[in-house]
Amino acid sequence: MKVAVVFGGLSPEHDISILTGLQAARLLRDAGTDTSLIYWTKQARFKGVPADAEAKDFAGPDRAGFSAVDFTIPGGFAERGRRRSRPLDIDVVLNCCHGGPGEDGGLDSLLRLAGIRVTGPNARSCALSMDKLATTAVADAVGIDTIPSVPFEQGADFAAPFGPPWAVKPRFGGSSIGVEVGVGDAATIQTLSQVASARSGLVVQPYLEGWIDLNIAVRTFPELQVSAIERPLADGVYDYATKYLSGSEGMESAPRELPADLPSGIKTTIEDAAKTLAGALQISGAPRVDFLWDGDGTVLLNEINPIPGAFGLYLWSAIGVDRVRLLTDLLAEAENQPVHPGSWNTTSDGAALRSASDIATKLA
Amino acid sequence: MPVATFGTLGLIAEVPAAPVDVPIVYLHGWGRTRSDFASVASQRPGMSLDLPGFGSSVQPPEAMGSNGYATAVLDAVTQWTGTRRVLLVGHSFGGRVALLIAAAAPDSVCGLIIAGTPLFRNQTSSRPPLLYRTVRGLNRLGLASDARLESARRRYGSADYLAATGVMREIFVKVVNESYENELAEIRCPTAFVWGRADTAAPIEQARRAQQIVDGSILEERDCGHDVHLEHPELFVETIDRFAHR
Repeated sequence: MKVAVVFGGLSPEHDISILTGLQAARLLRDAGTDTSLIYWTKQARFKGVPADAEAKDFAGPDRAGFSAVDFTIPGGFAERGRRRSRPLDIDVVLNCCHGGPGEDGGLDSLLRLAGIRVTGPNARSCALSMDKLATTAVADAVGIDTIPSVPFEQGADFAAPFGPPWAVKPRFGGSSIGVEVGVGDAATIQTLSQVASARSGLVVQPYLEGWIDLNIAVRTFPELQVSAIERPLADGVYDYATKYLSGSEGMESAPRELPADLPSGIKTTIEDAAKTLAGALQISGAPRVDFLWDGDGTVLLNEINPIPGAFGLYLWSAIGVDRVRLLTDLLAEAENQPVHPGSWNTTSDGAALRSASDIATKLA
Repeated sequence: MPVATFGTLGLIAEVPAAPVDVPIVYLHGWGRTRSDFASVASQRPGMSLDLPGFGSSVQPPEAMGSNGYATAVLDAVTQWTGTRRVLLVGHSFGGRVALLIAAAAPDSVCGLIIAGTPLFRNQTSSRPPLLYRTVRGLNRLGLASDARLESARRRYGSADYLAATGVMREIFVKVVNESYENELAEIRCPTAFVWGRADTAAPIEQARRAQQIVDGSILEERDCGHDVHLEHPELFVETIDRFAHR
């Protein structure tokens, strides 16, 4: 199997995606998989990257050794040559893009339209997962307890069926960037709605101060399975700096209790909810599902991350699914699925066209 | 800590829920957010601001220099503390803002901690590369497109310059070459310079030179780079305590 690892992308999590991509590519290559690297720049260009690239190679403007890669539909990726482009032979793309169009289904659709298989979750699942309001609605529909959420658009009057303090989050986007907790007045919500990360809207929730973060990953291939549950150990919000900048290994070395020491009832509630949600969202890939626990008997769904940092590999290692196994399963899942989803059928039979009058008559 | 809006620019800041002995204000660097000081602020609670155009604070309506930032921050701080004097803690660009406030409004400030802040214009910095200057010249004459100029900027511009867009890029151009000899000479409050010896953005020589200018100031050095506040938060806690107990 020829694998292309695609990473980067138009997102505030661009840098973290580079780390996820380089780690995944190195693991696959060391395991003997034919692996190439394709970097998606902040300018939305694709670049071929040498196999031995390091994170610091992406930090400055000088990216010697990177080659221009074109993308066409149909056709997919092609290395740009002096006279003609040479199509890249790719069986499956490992999508390592966090946030933005890499994680909201955009890249998935683009690649599938070009005829390329790509690791999950697929576009529909991603779109539902990256919209906090939609995720909540789907979870409510299948009986998973969620945090009450109300949408807020810039300039609107704010009204919520629950009082302050509030947690205010960008409605779209998977990271903790733009998340503010402990907000006590409507004017501040109005101000927060003007920041770039919030231009597509906010959701406002009650701020559950002191509740405990518990994260689990779930996959449906080769069979429905959940990972160990982690309890991140950090003061206050589990923020971007804690998640990604606290150690050279990023997510892998962030402080955590793994597996979390939990009452069996809470563990079962979380595992069942993650599996139920995976079914309801028709999820593929290995998303991470984040919950909040009051330390007693209540667990609420917080959010789902379709393509979590470092693929949540550490969560899977904790139950004996090693890192290479997780990645190769993701690739096998993609390889076994049709490039075009069943909903993209073209079975219209032309009858409407044959019986149609001319366009001018229709417009008259 | 509760999050709220402060000052006429509507800056987003966290402030302690309980009263504090000495009001501390944390000011982050260019392109960063208030979470930079989370580790220090969790131990010594104070006002952690997102500066205009960064984190959750909106961009200023028009390009302004560091003085505009100082005015906006002082406005926000006054809303929090009223007339009480504050201890300002600033990293990098935030250190410049702190310095400007201390120089312009000495009665509002009881102490100053400046970390990894470029304070003097770099005497040795060379002109932009020849190719970039050529493209810029041709653009002015209408012989090179704006797209070509932008492409040259991407090739030769600094990471901070490239990361900034719109009004923030104008602000970056305004502030990048500022020099602070005059403001340093006006400082009368207890002042500490906290620096990494391997800082390349603001070399340690700048801190040593600044310490000579500010009477009675102290210099704390550590073996680290620009982000001394991330690598040595304990150093800030110690320095804050030293000033707070005066």
